[in-house]
Amino acid sequence: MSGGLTYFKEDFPVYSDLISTINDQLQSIDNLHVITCTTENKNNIAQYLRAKNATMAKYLIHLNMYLLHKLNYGNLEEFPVDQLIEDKILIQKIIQAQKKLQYSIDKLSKYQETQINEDDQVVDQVEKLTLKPRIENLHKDETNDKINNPNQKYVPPKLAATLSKSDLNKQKQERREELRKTQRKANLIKSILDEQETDKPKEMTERDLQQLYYGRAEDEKQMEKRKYEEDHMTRLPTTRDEKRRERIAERKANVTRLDDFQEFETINKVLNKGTKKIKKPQGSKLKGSMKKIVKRKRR
Amino acid sequence: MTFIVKTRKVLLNKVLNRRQLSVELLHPNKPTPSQESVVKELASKYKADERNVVVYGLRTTFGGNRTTGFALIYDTQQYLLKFEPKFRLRRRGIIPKRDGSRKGWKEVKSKLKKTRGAEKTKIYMSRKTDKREVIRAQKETYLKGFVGK
Repeated sequence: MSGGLTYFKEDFPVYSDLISTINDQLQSIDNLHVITCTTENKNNIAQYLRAKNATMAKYLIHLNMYLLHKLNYGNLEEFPVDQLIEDKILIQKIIQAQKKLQYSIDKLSKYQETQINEDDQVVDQVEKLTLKPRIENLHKDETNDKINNPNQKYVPPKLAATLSKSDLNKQKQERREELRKTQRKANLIKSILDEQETDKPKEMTERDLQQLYYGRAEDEKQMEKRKYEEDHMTRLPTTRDEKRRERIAERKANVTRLDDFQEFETINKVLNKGTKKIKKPQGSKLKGSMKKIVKRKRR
Repeated sequence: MTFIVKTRKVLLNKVLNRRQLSVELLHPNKPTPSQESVVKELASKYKADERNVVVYGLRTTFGGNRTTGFALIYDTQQYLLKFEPKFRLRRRGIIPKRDGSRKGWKEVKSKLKKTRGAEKTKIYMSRKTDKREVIRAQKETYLKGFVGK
């Protein structure tokens, strides 16, 4: 018995605190209970609130019993603790769902408050939740100004010069050409600067690599065509323009090879390095038809 | 091997039971490789039967040394026969080639422009060689003789 008294003295302040919290919770349940009882329609929200209130009250009653049992130093094994745990889990789930319904619950509670206040002939300030937009005020009749203000003078619209679409396109094209010119100049200067020996590493873009390996970089149109073919796994037919371009490019490539006489000179130097010039002996004997050819040329 | 095979954009098409990929071949100072050699390389690379591999659209770039193309690797021969277009099956010899000349078809077309109704369909069907039942029978005969690995 003395042992029980000591436990009672230690646990009683904790018990009193817990009881006060339970009281607070019960008051909140009471407020919502009033709202749910007054709603006449079978609102889903009201049903939800009733269920919540019932589970909360049940849980609190069980908790109170558990505390008393503990105070009395009773056998806690006999007490159905599983029920407590089930109720707590239920309440947690219900509270999680309440977050989604909070707006409608607030609306309900405020509606109820206004109703109660109206009975006492005390109208609160306009609640924001009760406001609704008026779609009629969106479109105002501007043509009925004459009827509204007959004394107003007619003011004709101002005539101002505007650019036509073709002129706008021309301007855009001009700007593009100017940009291209500046880019070309910038590229020129960049190439000159790059030729100078610097420690900075050179940047090779995809086009530079293509020029290096295949001797020719792709145009934008060719790139578009290639992307389309790869995406759709098909081959588009070659047009006449493309064939013509290929022929021109081939001709250009061949012409540059013919002009490169320096290659032959370097090759000959390398081959003849270390060999002595052999002088032709005088009075060399030419054979057969070569005699006639040489004689003709000399003439 | 006289050329290098690079594969890009490999896509597994479960609807048509095949793998789709784009192929890049590098063959410096050599002519373009044949389709059969490319099929052999791909079959060994992807561990598939050579008869289930289809290569098409091989095109060399300007200057040579590089070709690009496309390849399809089917799961089985049945799916190949089901989903491949007829002109590619004709190239492989599964379906025999069309009889008749181009000129004959153009004559039929000019006749069709002048006729209407049941006569038109009659003329069209007389010229049409690849009828559905015929092609189905040809595919079945091919499958009977096909032995899987």
